[in-house]
Amino acid sequence: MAAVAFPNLKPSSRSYTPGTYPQTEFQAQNGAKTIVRYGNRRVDSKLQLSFANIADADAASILSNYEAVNADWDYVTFTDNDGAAGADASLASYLRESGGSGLKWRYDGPPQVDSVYPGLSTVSCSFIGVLDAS
Amino acid sequence: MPFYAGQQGKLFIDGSSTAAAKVVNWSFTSAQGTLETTTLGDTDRTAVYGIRSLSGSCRLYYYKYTSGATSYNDCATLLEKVIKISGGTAAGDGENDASDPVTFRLYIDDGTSSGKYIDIPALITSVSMSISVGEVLAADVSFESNGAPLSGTNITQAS
Repeated sequence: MAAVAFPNLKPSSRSYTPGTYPQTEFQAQNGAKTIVRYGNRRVDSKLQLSFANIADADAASILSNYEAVNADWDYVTFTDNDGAAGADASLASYLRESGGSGLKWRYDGPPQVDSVYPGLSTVSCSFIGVLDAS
Repeated sequence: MPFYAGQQGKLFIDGSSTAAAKVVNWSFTSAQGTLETTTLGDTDRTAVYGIRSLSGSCRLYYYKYTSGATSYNDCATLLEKVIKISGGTAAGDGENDASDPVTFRLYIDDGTSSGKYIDIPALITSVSMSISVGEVLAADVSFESNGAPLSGTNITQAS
């Protein structure tokens, strides 16, 4: 399990959710709730990146990264020059999941490539933060 | 001749060597689309070139004339490109001939033998006519180019 750097491409848009805490809720007929929390770490954070109108070669580099990460059980890392671009340091630590969450970014499905013009493509990627068992 | 006015303008239809009769005006617009490439962290919008499009219009009087034994009406020629008459006499005939493309040469007589022109392989998108007291009957024709201007176009050349 190794880190694979994401290509040096800044996204045109980004969406992030920090994930949830693993728990189960039981609700009694009188409305009272019992919550069983299974851990104190959030899981399944989501990151969606969109790269609009990028060169086909850059789109290919994203697909190559997808293959490299999934060739083995590896994970993706981001920097301020790619997935975390434009965010200040405090938010970037969440976007990169580098603040001690223990989550590792993996592709939540294959990237989608839309050809928009000769030589230009728009690519959408989705990532999920996975908490690997130690 | 450094400047050009209306009297230097002509319109040629479908490669004819004779200019269309009674053309009031012609115009064209070339539009260039852009594709946004702004990324997170940018403070200014960036873009690259996208698709180009070319469209235009012309206005011709509905003018009938003869040359030798043949009658001509260049306005009617353009109307016929997109107005296709039903083969029957009953209403509801929805299957008729398709519209025809046309090639326009928008021409400027600059005093040389060739002149300056742009050849547009056009699809006529609208034709409108109206008649009223005190006005000469004319047709306003709008068109879009099907692809780039044809080779031979020299209006972009400085000399």
